[in-house]
Amino acid sequence: MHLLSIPKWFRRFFALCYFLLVVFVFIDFAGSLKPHTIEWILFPQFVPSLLNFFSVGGALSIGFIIVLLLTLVFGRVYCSFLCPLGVIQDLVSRISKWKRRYKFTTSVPWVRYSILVVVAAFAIGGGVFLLYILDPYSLAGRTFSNLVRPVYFGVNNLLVKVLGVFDSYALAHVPFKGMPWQVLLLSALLIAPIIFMAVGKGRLYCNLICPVGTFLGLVSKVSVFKVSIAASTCTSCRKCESVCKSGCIDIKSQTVDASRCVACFNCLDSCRFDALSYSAIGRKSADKPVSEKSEGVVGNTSRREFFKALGGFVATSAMLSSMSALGAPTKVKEKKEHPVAPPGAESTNRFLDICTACHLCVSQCPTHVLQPSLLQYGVFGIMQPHMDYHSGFCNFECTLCGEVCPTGAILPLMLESKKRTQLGVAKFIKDNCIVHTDKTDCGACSEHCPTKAVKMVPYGEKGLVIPSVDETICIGCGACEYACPTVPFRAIYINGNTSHLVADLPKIQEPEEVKAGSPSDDFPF
Amino acid sequence: MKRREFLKKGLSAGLFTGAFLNMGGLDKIVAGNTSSANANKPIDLVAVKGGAPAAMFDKAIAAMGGMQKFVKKGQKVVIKPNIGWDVPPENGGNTNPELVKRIVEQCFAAGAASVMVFDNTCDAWNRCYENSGIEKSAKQAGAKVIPGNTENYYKEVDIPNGKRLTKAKVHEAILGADVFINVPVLKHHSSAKVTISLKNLMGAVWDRRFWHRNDLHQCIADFATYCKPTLNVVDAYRVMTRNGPRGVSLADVVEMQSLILSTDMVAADAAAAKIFGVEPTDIPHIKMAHELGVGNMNLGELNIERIKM
Repeated sequence: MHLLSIPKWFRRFFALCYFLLVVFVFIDFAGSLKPHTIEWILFPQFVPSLLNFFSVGGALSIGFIIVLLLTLVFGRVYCSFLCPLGVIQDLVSRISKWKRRYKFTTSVPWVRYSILVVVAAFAIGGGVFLLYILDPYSLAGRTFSNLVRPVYFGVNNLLVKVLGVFDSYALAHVPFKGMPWQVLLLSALLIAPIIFMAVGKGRLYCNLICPVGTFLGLVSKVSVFKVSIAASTCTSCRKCESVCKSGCIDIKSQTVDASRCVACFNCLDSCRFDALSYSAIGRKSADKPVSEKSEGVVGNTSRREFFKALGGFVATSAMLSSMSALGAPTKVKEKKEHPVAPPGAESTNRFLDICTACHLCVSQCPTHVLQPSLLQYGVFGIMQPHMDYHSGFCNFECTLCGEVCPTGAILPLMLESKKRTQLGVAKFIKDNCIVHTDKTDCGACSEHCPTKAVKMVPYGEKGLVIPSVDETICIGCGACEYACPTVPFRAIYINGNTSHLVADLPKIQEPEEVKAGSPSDDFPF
Repeated sequence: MKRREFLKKGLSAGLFTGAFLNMGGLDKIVAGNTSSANANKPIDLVAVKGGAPAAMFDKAIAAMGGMQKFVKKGQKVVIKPNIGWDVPPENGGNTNPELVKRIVEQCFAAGAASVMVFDNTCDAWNRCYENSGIEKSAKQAGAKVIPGNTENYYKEVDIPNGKRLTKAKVHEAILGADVFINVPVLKHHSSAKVTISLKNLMGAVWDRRFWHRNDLHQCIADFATYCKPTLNVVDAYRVMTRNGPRGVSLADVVEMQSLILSTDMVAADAAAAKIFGVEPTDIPHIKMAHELGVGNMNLGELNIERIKM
């Protein structure tokens, strides 16, 4: 193999392996990966890590710092090696490769810098809406979780059917439930233009819109290693330009726009005369170092100073479909004043300020209770997950969402504290309850309640029992609302707390006097 | 591979049969001490107390005439324990895993071709299967632990004798099995008052909401007219006496070390209700099932074998 092919092949191999791992994180339903492993896999994702750093902090949130340092040394390697949206575009470009050759495009920096400024200002002052709409990791996450996952589930379910013919239960059927179709559509609409651009224009999204690409582009202007063209050897054959998916090689001036170069290394071995090199600045072999002509701001000397200062630092771092309940429809509408944010969110506002709607929690949640919202949080919270108690309820013994959330929007909770975190409180509507309307026993709500905040108390003369809620020990897990069989309105529902509270512990009663059941007694019959 | 598995199964089945025959012999001696059943009449119900779950089952099934009376060579068996909740065995929320394991072993010892175990759980199914300890113990004994988590596994059946419940979607494993063993755990239940054999069958169907919506007790009784398990084994080793069916703390659990075995669900539930401390007549679904002719709740009319260990 040509020596200059090595970086390209290394990048391809690394990026593909890592990409597949990230896809798997988002589509796996079997809990194959431990939360801690997932945390490490997503560690270098720029935006989540950045948000995590400022919202939580700690060693696991410094991924973006490492990425920054890597960028300072190697250029935008994040974009080519780690960014899942980048790899999606590369794959799309590759599949459609026969169609076209890339061309140099004149940079229109004001577009991307304006976007970066607006997104950053909005994120700091207003909210993360624009950031999560444009962040490449979150865009990719939503694509995997909402568009790839159902296909994966479908393949699994097809296999279940096939295995069923042979009486095998080796695989289990998995439901893809609770996801609003509007969210599926929106996810598709947001990824479609990026894919479309990738077909014709390679990494156009990364260099025109992506706020992460733009920001890392600024940093990569001063990176140690850069791609450069040796003017003395270059014959201006444009071979390198035709393989540059960033369109950042300008043959006329024989320069490479470092701020747009995603360090894919495809150009290196394209040159018959080895005129391209990826080398440290100031190295003699490249007689014409990278120019920032197209956008140029940072000069050479200031850059050296910058690196001297940074040197030491750099060196040290390395469904509902089955709701076929007959009976009269209920009439009283639930008064849901607030949506319910997941346990670990602390408060709705805090959650909405940090969550980038990557939907990792949605795909990991074992009960499907976490679902992307539509307008529950308002327009600027669309797709940020909420607890959908018609889709499922929060498993009492589970803390998974907080353990996997890469942004810190959902904080990891210890099981004991999660079991007391009050997301909301149950509200009972007697006029909807079938014990009241039909005079028959039901109690599905109390049955599912893990703290017995929903208790059955005597009702009427027929020996019936009806729910009664003790709000002090209710944690708002939604088991009651999920289980309640009345339609269209439930007889019990959760009204969210805007700030999560700590519920009282259920009173531990004295152990019962052993009655007839004592092992030493005689049989009571 | 297949041959090896076949040999393995055959071998273990042989071993268990041997062990089982031995136990049968011993039991006859022990049973003689406490027996109160009429030896000339078939036994309707066996009640055991004072032993470990698996040991109590061995005694009970031996008294009943041995597992081979119910499981014939080459038959497909399905076992339906209560695996409803994501709680560990000591909480008494699910059937005892040791008991399930021994039943599976006994089935294979009697020559069962396959044994499947499942439940339509309330909490997340795979977490229930795991935390209950049932998945592990049943698999150790050679059973297939199969899912029941989506509607795809259920097929609609008619319930001609049902008053409110006339149709239900039943798990395909039950529909395809030769032998159905119902293994409930005795627990307090917030709405059904107690949950035993009859109530445990709610986990054999898909749409539970319908039952809750349309007179829970009647639906429980109605379903029993359609689905009669070959055997009912009531686990009353650890009994949740309040805050059921999920339980709030270990203080809700009393160790009663008992077990009931019967082919008659109503009789089994009547006896278990007594152990729990309530009269069978106070439990509407037991009474309704009795009235529908599913079984007999009048324990005085039954030939009962009582064994104390």
